[in-house]
Amino acid sequence: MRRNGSACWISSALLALAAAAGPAYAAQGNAIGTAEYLAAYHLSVPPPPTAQGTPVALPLSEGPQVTGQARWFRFEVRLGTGTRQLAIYVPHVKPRAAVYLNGSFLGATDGFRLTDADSWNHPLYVLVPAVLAQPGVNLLLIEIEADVGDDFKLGPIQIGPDDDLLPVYRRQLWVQVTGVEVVTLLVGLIGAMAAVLWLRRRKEELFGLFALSCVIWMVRNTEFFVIRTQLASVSVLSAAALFWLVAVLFRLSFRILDRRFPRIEAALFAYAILMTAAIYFAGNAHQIAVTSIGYAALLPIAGVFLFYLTLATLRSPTVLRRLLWLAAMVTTLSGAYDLALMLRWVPWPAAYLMPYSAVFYSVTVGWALIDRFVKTHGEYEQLNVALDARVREHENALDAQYAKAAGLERERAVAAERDRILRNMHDGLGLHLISALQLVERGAHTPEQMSSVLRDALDELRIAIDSMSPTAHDLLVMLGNLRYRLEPRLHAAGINLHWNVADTDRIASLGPMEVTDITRIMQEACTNAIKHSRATEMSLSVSCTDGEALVISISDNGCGYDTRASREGVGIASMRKRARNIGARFTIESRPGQTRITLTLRTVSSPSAPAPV
Amino acid sequence: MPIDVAIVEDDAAPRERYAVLLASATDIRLLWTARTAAEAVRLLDLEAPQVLLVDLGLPDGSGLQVIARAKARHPECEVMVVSVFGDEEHVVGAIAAGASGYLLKDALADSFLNTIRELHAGGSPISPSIARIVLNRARPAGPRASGEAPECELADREREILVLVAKGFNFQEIGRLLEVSSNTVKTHIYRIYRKLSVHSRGEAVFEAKRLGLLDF
Repeated sequence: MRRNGSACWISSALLALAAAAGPAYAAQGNAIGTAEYLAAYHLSVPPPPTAQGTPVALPLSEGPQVTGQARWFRFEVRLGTGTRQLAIYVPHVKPRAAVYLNGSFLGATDGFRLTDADSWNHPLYVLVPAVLAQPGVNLLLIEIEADVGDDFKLGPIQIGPDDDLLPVYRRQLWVQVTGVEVVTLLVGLIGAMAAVLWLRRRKEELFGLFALSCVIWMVRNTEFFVIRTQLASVSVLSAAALFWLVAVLFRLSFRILDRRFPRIEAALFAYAILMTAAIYFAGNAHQIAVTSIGYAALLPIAGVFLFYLTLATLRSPTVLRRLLWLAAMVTTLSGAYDLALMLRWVPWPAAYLMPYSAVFYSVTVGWALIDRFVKTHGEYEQLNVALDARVREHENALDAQYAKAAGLERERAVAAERDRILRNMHDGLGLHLISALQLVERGAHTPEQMSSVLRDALDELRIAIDSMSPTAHDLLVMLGNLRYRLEPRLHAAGINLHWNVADTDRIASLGPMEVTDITRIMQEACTNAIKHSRATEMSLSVSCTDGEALVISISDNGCGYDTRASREGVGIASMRKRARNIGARFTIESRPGQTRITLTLRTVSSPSAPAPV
Repeated sequence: MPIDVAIVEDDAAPRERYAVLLASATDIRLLWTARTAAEAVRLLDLEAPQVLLVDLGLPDGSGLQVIARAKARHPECEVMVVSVFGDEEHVVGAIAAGASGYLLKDALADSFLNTIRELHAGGSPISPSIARIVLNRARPAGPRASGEAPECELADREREILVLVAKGFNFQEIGRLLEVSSNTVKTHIYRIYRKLSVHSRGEAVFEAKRLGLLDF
């Protein structure tokens, strides 16, 4: 609805313009009588009242044969007896004219007597001094210069009270001249903005075309209001501008529709070049005729374009296409109207309307630019949203992957831990409980034996629990804990333990599994000694050799035992097995007074990890 | 003058074992036994022991409460945790609450009694793994920014001693290595225990958590 509303508004504004220029003013109480053409008289020297003239009828659209330096027209004006200030109003006179009443000069159009001036589009308005006007018949003379071009016109003349005529004159002046000036200024401003935009973004052809069309439109419009032109060629330019304007506007319209018709566009530019040359070479004498023919030829082209545009708009009636259609329609219609006016087919007074259609084009192209900006911005936003979504998607995928990897890692760690605990239970506590069971089942046990086996089981359990503690990787702490627990028993057995541990970093590189197994082996060796060796001295040493081997040994001065004997063999076999588990070399030497068990581990040197303080 | 010992233990078998062990010594007297934390708290108010043995897992709460209460009411009372495994997770929390080390439930009679005697005489036993954990958790020695709240900070000598304990050396060996008497070593250990402990249960738990010693 709003669109139609604006279209209606624009149409009615156009109609109002036409209407304002349209109706003729009916003179009140004063009448223009006979009109005569006075041939062969001089410039600025009014012919005498007695001069013979040829009767003519207004409006005149074709100049009479010029026989002198000026064309003189004489009118008999019958005036009433009123005391109101009188004025004479000539809406259309071309080229420039001067007005005389009863032989006295009253006034002239701007630029009168200036050969390079052209104020053909300006209405003429002069006041009549009371002393010159006399009741009854007065003689009104109008002098029209004969030396500027071949275009001539003299519209109806009105004489009446200034109060009545002035508003009419002012309205006509506004429509014919001032309004065009305002529109031209507006087009210039909008064009300048478009030009700046285009300079910033050269690839946006639309901006450049629009700025160009604004410039051409300005040049075109100067014809309607510029009075003094120092360059004669400006009028040529102004006349030719319409052809260029059409070429540029067609191209612009195609771009707005996202279409390209290179041949049509090229043909229109070629036509503009041709017409510019034709108008230039036609000279003053034939300029109007050539221009009129050229303009007329544009009308069918515009008609075809309008037809195409109508189809395009019907096919896809976007706001932009409707606006473009409206602008093209208004431009074409006003162009046709102006051509008719030029050819005197339209009753006077009237005004050229095409300069105003620039407004419609400005609105349309302005809308196109805004539309394009908004769309581009929207696309960027959508692009950003899409990009964000993709980034999030990737993040989520990565998170899921990490979570999965972490889950797997956790599962692996849990499985390894479970294996370790199971092995601890199986190899340690399980074995001890089985031997306790065996003792009980055989019934061949003493309380001491029983207590010893259960204590071993508890020791095993403590090592298993230690192996899960945060310090489980620290060999010295674990061996120390073992000592801390066994010390009372060693003391009770009369064994003095010497603690010879070296301060070494490499021990830190052991894992809890190795540490636990080393501790078990040492525990087994200790408890064996407590139970069987009758030793008094025992020594546990931990050291590192230069060859990056960790050596742990335990020795006592007890009775020793036969390493091949089966009874002790069980414990030793178990120690051997554990040493194999952790890749350690296990050696045992035993004779009376000297038993030594040695574990040798190849370890990864980690000089970068200093020993914990 | 026998040493007055009290026991907080909910299981009958170990309770009886301790009673028998303590009865075998003439210089040690069993003052009372409690089965629950509530009972222990009530008895503590009635009669103060010189040495208190506490099991941490009590039916009506944690033994930490009892330790904190004992240290708050009777600062001179020495507390020892009695544990099956002596695993540091339990013991170190108890130390923060005011305990001085632990006794194993299956400890040999002599060692059980000797530990009580030594504790009464001012010697606090410390296992290598507890020493290691205390070392790991304590702030490194050296100057600290002004305005910081005082933390558990170890003196250099205390640190040295803990390092040696963590390597399995006993007090006599440490005394030889550092060229001090084993009694001096004991005094340092005792001081370390006091540094680690605070005198209310809330603070104890907070302290233990801050030191990363407890996972509740």
